[in-house]
Amino acid sequence: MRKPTADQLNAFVGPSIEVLEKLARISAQVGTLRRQRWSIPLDRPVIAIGVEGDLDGRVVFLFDPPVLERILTALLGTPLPPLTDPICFDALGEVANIIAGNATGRLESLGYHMTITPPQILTWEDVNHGMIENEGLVIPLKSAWGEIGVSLFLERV
Amino acid sequence: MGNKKRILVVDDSSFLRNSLKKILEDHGCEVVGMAENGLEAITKYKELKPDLVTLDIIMPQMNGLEVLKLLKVVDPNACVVMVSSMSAQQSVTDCVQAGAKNYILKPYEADKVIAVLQKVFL
Repeated sequence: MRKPTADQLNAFVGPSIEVLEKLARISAQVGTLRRQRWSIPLDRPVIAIGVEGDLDGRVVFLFDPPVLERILTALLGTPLPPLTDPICFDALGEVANIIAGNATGRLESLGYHMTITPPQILTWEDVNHGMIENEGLVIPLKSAWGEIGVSLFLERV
Repeated sequence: MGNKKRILVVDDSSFLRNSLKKILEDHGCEVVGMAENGLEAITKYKELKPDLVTLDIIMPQMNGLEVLKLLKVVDPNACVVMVSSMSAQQSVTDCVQAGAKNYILKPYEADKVIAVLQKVFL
């Protein structure tokens, strides 16, 4: 799979920052991009959104626990259920869905027409069965509560 | 918005169904039903005959555009407002051409939702 272009990356950075600010009052800034081997945590969901159209693949969201709790508190209130509870996946999935959906408008202005598919929890099996590469480029969004890692596994069709 | 409007909320996310329900009820609407997928939406529409349907686009099995087209077959006068994260203009155009009355982009503020509904019911 080719590396995403700067335009493709930027199309996701803007909506990520805006949506986190609007939904959870989290100010985030882009850190230094890095390649990283996947390590799927067992204590919290990793969310993947499918992308179909001129670009095809997945966008994967991995949240540090404190920022994840901050987002969920903003969306669900307190007390928070366990991070592995389906309601947490539902809320986080919607955050990922909104970021990726908002990115489609920016990508459209670059000439890419596409749609997205509903959020899924990414598991080790997805990595082991090759549904995504076992190493990816991470856009780190740094906040006072930790990092939100956004990874693009997209290929031009 | 005049007499109490009866609304069917369709979204695969329970979190968003409940948050939209609260916004609508806080502003004097009656949420007569909620559906988490397209088939349930069609069934509940036939049963409840709501004044308006809020319809998500990104849903499993059947997407919101497909559901909209089916609703229009069931009832050509069905009043449907799309509620979606998809900001691509093509998505908006497709829905409007299929008969959607309006399009609310997620994430939304309560004021925006109510302003759109007021416009639809004018």
